[in-house]
Amino acid sequence: MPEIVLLAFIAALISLDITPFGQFMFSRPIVVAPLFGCILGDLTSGIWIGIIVEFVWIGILPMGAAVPADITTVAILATIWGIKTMPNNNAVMVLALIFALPSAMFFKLLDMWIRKINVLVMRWVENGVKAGKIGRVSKGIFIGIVLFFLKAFVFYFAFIIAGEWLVGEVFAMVPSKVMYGLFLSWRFLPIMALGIMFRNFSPKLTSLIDGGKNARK
Amino acid sequence: MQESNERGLLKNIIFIKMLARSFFLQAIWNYERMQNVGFAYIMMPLIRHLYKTPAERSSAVLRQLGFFNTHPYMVSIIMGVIASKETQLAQHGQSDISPESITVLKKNMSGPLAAVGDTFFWAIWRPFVALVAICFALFLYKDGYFREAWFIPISFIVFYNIVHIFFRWWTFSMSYTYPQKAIGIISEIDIQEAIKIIKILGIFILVCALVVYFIKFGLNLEHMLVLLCIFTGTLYLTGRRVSPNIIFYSTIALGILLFCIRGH
Repeated sequence: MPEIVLLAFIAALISLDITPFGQFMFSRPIVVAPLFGCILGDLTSGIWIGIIVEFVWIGILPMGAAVPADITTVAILATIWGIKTMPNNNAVMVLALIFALPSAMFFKLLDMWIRKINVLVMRWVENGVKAGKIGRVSKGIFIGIVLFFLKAFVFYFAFIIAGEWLVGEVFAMVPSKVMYGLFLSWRFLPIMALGIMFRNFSPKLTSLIDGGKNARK
Repeated sequence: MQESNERGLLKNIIFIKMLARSFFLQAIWNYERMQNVGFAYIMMPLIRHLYKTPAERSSAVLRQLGFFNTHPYMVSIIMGVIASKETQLAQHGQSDISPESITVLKKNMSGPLAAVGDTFFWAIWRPFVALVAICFALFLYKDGYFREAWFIPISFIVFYNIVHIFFRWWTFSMSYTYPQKAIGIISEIDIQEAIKIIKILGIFILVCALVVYFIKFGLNLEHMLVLLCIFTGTLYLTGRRVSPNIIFYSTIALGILLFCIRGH
């Protein structure tokens, strides 16, 4: 249990980089997956998960008021679940990735709730400023960061426990043929990720393949 | 002379405080007015310096609590221009600057600058730096392990943030010192040309990464052909705007299917 608390604490701390503080990109999959891989003793699997998640969802951008699916969550949970179930086993890493993706949607939902709660905090700040208490602006910033951290901590704590159990149970049940198939797909995922990246950099070149009907200008 | 030095020092302290606070812009990102509290928080050191009475300070902070949303790095340009306008309003009471005009200026700048930030930083610079780091990773892979693995995330963080932090500092210092010229200077930077160059470099690095991957992980000719099919298939599907989630799950399903059919 103390290990899970520590992992959830580090994950929540790094998640602050996504929205409330900095955007130094400490929260990108290419950084967080190797970090958790290093902490749990399987750096190689961590780097591969980082490469796959970073490239496959490279097109998901936080533009305007849209809340994109959180790929930091995919990278952190897949690395922790996979390595804690069985380190250095590529098939288990694929299994962990399969379950980590829907979890990111749940993190997105939580993020949207927090943004609604932030409206109440903002109004509390505004009412304070109207009453001459301008110090509420700094307090509001602090509350916003604490709320985001708590949300991320509770999320990671619950999902690390639930996901570790789920991946372990499924791993025990899956037929060996499927496990070997997952092992094979582990080598397919980076090349697929490179394909998505190619599209990102050269929509015109890649449009030769799809007939140029949907080339992005 | 001494008074001028003190004023310069004070200006520098306010500059550093505002720059440091700009990293908290999105701390209370809310659906009603988005980054408004974050922007007010950035402006607080200047407001405390410009206004001495609680009523004046309160009124100046309230002005900053209107709707505001931009790219988190681009705020450095807006806060420099707004800081300069607030200073003029407080110190000289210029007739051509009204509190309302400052609010309108802030709103008008946020949209176009957000588009530039999204296009350059999110869609081009970040993928490019990630690509460089990952290309290094593939070169460093040998016998089932990544040699010098620490270099991969560190190089990504360092290369990305050199541009990120320099951009924030440079644009803020310029718009804070020369608010009239700042937008002109920034608009003269040919971002489209920079994007074009980065894209060409990106394609070159991607081709290198692909060659390395095929050499290191293509077990035999048949395996290489399968990898090539997956690569072209991904290009086709992304061109058809198929979601990356579907491509991801389809690739895994293909791996299982191929093993079940071929048995190896």
